[in-house]
Parts: sequence; structure tokens; C-alpha cells
Amino acid sequence: MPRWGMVIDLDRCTGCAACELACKSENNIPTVSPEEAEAGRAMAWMKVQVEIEGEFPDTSMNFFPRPCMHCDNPPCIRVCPVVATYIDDEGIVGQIYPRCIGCRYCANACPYTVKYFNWYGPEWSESERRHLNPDVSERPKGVIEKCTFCHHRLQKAREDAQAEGRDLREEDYQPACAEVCPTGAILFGDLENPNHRVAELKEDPRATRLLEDLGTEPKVYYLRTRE
Amino acid sequence: MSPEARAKLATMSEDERALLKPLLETSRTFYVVASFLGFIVLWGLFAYYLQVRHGLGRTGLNRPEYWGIYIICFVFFIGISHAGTLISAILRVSKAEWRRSITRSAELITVLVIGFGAIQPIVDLGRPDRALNIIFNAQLRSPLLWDVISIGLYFTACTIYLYVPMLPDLARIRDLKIKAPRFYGFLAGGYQHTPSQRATLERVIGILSIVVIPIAISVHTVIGWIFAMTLRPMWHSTIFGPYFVMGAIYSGIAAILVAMVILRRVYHLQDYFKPVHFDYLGRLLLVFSLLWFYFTFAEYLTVFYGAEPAEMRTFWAKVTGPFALPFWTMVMGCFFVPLFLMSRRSTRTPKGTMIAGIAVLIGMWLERFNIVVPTSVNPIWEFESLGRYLPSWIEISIMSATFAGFVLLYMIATKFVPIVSIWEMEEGRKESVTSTSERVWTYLPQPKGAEQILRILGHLATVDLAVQEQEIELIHGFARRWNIPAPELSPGAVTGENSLPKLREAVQDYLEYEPSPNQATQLLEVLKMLVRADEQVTREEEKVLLEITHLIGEYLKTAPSGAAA
Repeated sequence: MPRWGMVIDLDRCTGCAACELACKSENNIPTVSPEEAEAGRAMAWMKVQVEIEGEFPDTSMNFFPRPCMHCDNPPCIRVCPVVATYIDDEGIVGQIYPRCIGCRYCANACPYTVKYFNWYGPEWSESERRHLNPDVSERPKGVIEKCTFCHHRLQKAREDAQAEGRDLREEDYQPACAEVCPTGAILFGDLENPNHRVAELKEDPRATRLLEDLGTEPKVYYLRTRE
Repeated sequence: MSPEARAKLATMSEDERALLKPLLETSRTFYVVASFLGFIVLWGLFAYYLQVRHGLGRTGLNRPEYWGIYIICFVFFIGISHAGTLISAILRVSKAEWRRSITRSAELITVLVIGFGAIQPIVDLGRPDRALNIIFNAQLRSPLLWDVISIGLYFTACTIYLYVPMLPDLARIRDLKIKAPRFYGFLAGGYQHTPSQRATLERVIGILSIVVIPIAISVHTVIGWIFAMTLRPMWHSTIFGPYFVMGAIYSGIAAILVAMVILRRVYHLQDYFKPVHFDYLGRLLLVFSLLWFYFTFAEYLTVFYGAEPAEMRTFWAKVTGPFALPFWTMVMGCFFVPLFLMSRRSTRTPKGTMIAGIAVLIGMWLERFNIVVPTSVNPIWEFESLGRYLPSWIEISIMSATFAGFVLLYMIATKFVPIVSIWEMEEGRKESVTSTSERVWTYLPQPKGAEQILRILGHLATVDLAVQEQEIELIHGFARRWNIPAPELSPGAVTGENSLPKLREAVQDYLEYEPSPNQATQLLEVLKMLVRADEQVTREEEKVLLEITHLIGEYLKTAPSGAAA
């Protein structure tokens, strides 16, 4: 059984935010108005966070692309009163939109603040509507949504592999952010499979995970910048 | 008020007249206030309609400030609900007689306020249409589900606990036929206040008042756990369960006090809500203000010394940061104001307790604000931007509507049920004076030789061969007072034997305890009383009395040195 995970090399990240955009367009994430974004209603399953160090003009910027950590021990799934958020056998933490009651308890329980709430129903301009991804359901207003490691792509890849009578290869299943990253900073694969790059990189001395001391066991690893 | 009702009212007892009057007579002010509150409720319903139609975006909530006014009000209202049931149950179980006039008004607060508290999380839901998923897809390990269960149980128990002690009053209104006969006929069922029904009623009340205490404690513990079971800074705390229960009882007492002052004023209940009630409840409020300080201090000191970065961000946000105003207002309202007012007898008056009560209510609302908001806007992951929170008019309207709705329903309820339990007041007058003084006797040490005295009395009663009822009553009275078993005697029983030697022996036994001369003389008086209890003194009795007088006289002459004085 694969255990899907991600390794993000912070040395390679340029902060271009292509991953953010690719994620939005892949997963039909609505764009909100600037006022709403200012009020904290912007949605970004994958979000490039920026840390500015030092005083002007001696400043440096660090970038953290931050998807859902897909914890092995996710605090969000324990608190949901209706089992609308779950972890599957392959370690992907998902959300059942038609069941979610919108209590936002999981959002409060998540230490990484990666759960997004639909404050309004989704609205699309005519041009956007034509480009919605038919593989991903639109979320109604009032439910929680989150990064899924693009698990709709996994389904498709698995069906294709089955049809061709072969095993699933690493390149068959890549989430949109990893696929689009121009510097190859985002790598994705099976953490248990020695043929996948992430399996080796997660053992790299630079590898670390966010808030490891909380015991949530995230499956997203970061490779620290070299000084 | 109809003329017939007025005529009927004139024939009633004083309690009935004073307490049933609000059911029959409604002032113009009542209608004005009620329509004003009704308007606020309608306004709130309109605001809720907008929220449901457009989504929770109409509130001031955002990411990471996921919970706001609704959850604060939820915790606050459920806290108030500990007013009634818990307090009245504790007072009933501990046999505090002064409770009689305050339990009904307190229990009524509880039942109404649980309802208004329980709708808050539903108002807060993104998908209220799916609220029933909580039953169909229940996940038992979610603290939110524990809450649904414990609040459901609590609401049921409190409603029964309000209803059962109300039955005699409902039956009385039904029988007096002063108002809506069918309505009260239905509510009162077949209750007739017969001795057997009374006994069942009291047994049920006794069981309920014990059952309801653990349920009430579980309710607010679980609400504290909703927060404590997450990893958020200053939520993830083991003290939260008990801290929330304590705070709930505290705000509950404050709510009772405010309600009592208003009821006393508008329904002229000065004879029922007396200074002593405000004094006692004021003392309780004082105790809880100190407890509140203790818990809060323990909580904040622990966080401060642990000094974890994420915790400290929230800590400083409250103590000196953007939340300093609500934080220090809370400290004033929950600690300094009640401490100052309730620690002095001169301000433990209705007016003083009302001011302290309002300060505590504001302080406790802010306490919930200070728990929910500062933690929410400070995410653990430090690169996450800080949140902000400004409630929208929709949230303020819905909050006002729930407060108004609660007061409105409470007002209307006072028009349908006597706000002070009539039967319990009457029972208090009739029985509790004797039962309380008898109970007090059992607290006190028994006089030396009490059993001997009872034996002497028992023998004396049989001296004239026939035991009289009055004699038995007197002996049983003494036995009850000293809390020792009474000798078995039945009226008219003929013992057939001369009990004179036994009697002499018993008196001598008693004198061996070396009673003081005073007590010995008193015993003689009691014996004389017993002899005269059946209003005829037989020759035997006279002879016996003479004999005992002699014995005690001898004893007094040689009384022990300590007793000589």
C-alpha cells in the first residue's frame, strides 16, 4: 500500500507561486474579491508563505509553499462530529463536501491552518466557468474544503495503469503543484517506495517537517535552505 | 382581570393572592416591553435569513477566526443555564430552607436559556440544513458530539425538573378555574395533591435533584473540552473542564440575582425575595468571585511560566496586546466589582447584588470572548498571518435577538406559571419550622443519660396500667429530639405488672450519670408533665411521683461538688 507524500526543497523555491495558481485552476478554487481577500476569505489550498528576515536594505526572503500536511495522525479528523473529514488507506486526508455541516471545528483543530471555509457560494465569471475542471466537484457554500493531493488524478492514473496492464509509475500520479513547479522544488510520490525520489529525500539531513513536536506526523517534508 | 377572577382572588390565601396575581393581571408596561423585545427578535430572524441566504460571509468571521459571537454566546448561555437547576438541586439536596422561594424562577431560567444556547451552534453552522447529519453520521470521538448528547440530556432532565415540582401549582390553578382551564387541565394531568401523590412527587423531586447535578457538571465540562481537545495555544489546557463548570455556576448565580431583583420589583414580591435571600446568594457570589480568580490566576500563571512561544503570543495579546481592554474589563467585572460589593454586608442588598450580578454577567461574557477570539486570531503556525475579528451587524443582531428572545419568553412564562412555588411556600410555613428544628436537634450532642430518661418515662407511662396516647406522643417527641429509638408502647396496652421497682432502678441508674442539679430538677418537671399528660392523676401515679421526688431530693442533698453550684 503506497503512502503518498511530498518533499519541498526550499533551496529551489523561487516564490513564483505557479503552484498556487495551478492548484486553483486544477481544483476549481473560487477567486474572491480584493475586499473579501483583505477580510481573510481568500482560498488557497496551496499557499506560498513569505518570511522576510532582517532590516531594509539587508533583507532576505524565505518562501514556504504550504499544502495540507496530510498528517498520519491528523487532529482534524478526530474532532469532526459527522466523519466528513477522513484519512484513507494511502494516507490522503480528504473532505466529504456533501456531508460536512460547516461547524469549522476541524479548521480550528488544524495546527497548520490549511482548512478553508466557503463563506459564500462559488461564483465564476463566464470565462472561468468554461475552464472548470470536470474531475473536481464544486463546493457549495458553508462547507470546509482542503488540499487533497489532487486525489482525482490518482483515480485516473490507476485506471489508466490498469487498462494498460502495468504498475503505477511515479510520473503517472503527480498533483498539479508538483507538475507545474518550474524549478522542481516540489516532489511527490510514495514515501514507502524506494524507486520514488521522495522516499530517499525524506531521509536527507536537510529534511524536516512543520511543528514536528506536535506529533501529527505530517507527510509533507521540507528540505531546509543551505546556509 | 375579569370580575369573577378578581372575586376569586379575594377569597384566596395570602400566598395565592400575591403569586397568582401576575397570571391574571398584565400591565401596559408589560405589553410595551414585550413588543419591543418581539421587534428585536424579528429583526434577528431577518438577519439570520440574510445569513442563510448569502452564507456566513455576511458575518465578520474569516480564516483563521473561524468561531466568533455565536460560539461565545453558546458558551455563555449554556453557562447561565447552570443557574437554575444546579443551584436549586444543590440547595434542595443540602436542605437549605431558604431556597423555597427562589427555585422556580431559577429553574425557569435554566430551561429557556438552554434552548437559546443550543440554537447558537446551529446558527453558526455553514450548513444548518444538514444539522441532522450529527445523528445520521455521528462520530462519537468528536467532542462536539459529546456536547450534543450532554446538552440533549441536560435539556430533558431540566425540563422534567422544572415541570414536576410545578405540578401541584398547575393543579391548583386548574382547580381554582381562574385561567385557561383546558390548558392547565392538560398540564396538570390527574394530579390531585393526595398524600400518596405528594409522596411520589417528593420522591421524584429527590431523585431528579441528585441526577441533574452530574448531568449539569458534564455539560459545561464537555463545552470546555471542545476547546481543550484541540492543540491551540491557551485552549489545550487540562483545567478547562472544571474552569468552565465553575464559570458557569458563577454566571448562573449572577443571572438568578438579576432576575430576582427585577421580578421582585415588577411583581411586588418583596415578601418572597427577602434581604436574606440576596444576602445568602451574595455570599455565594463572593465565594465564586474568589474561585474565579483562583482558576484564572492558575491558568495564566501556568502559561506564563511554561513560556511556549505560541502560547505566549496569545498570552500577551490578551494581557497587553489588542485584547487588553476586554481582558481587564473581564477582571474588573468577574473579580474586583463583585469582591468589593459582596464582601460588605451593607452592599449585599438587592441593589448591590444587582450591580454585582450585571458586572459578573458582562465579565463572564467577555471571559468567553477572551477564550475564543485571541486564540483564534493567533494560529500556531507562525508564518500564518494574524487574524482580525470585527463582528458584523448580522452577528450583533442575532445576538441581541437571542437575548431579547430569552427575556421575552421568560416574561411570558411568568404569566402562565407562578414564579414562586406556591405549594413549597405553604409547605415551608406548615412543616419546615418543626422539621428544621428537629433536624437541628440531631446535630447537637445528646444529653447524658438521655436513654435512661426515656426508660424512666416509659416505665412511668405504664404505672397506671394503661398507656395513654398523649403520654406516648410526649415520649416520642423526646426520642425524636435526641435522635434515639423510642420505647415501644401502644395506647391502652395493659402491662399487668407493677413497674414500680423497675422505675426506681431506672431513676437510680440515671442519677449515676451525675446529672447537674438543674437537670435533675428538670427531669422531675418532665415527669410531672407526663403524669398530667392524660389530664387525670391516678393514686398510683401520685405515689410514684412522691417516691421519685424523694430519690432526686436525696441526690440533690449529696450532689457532686461540681454540680453543687
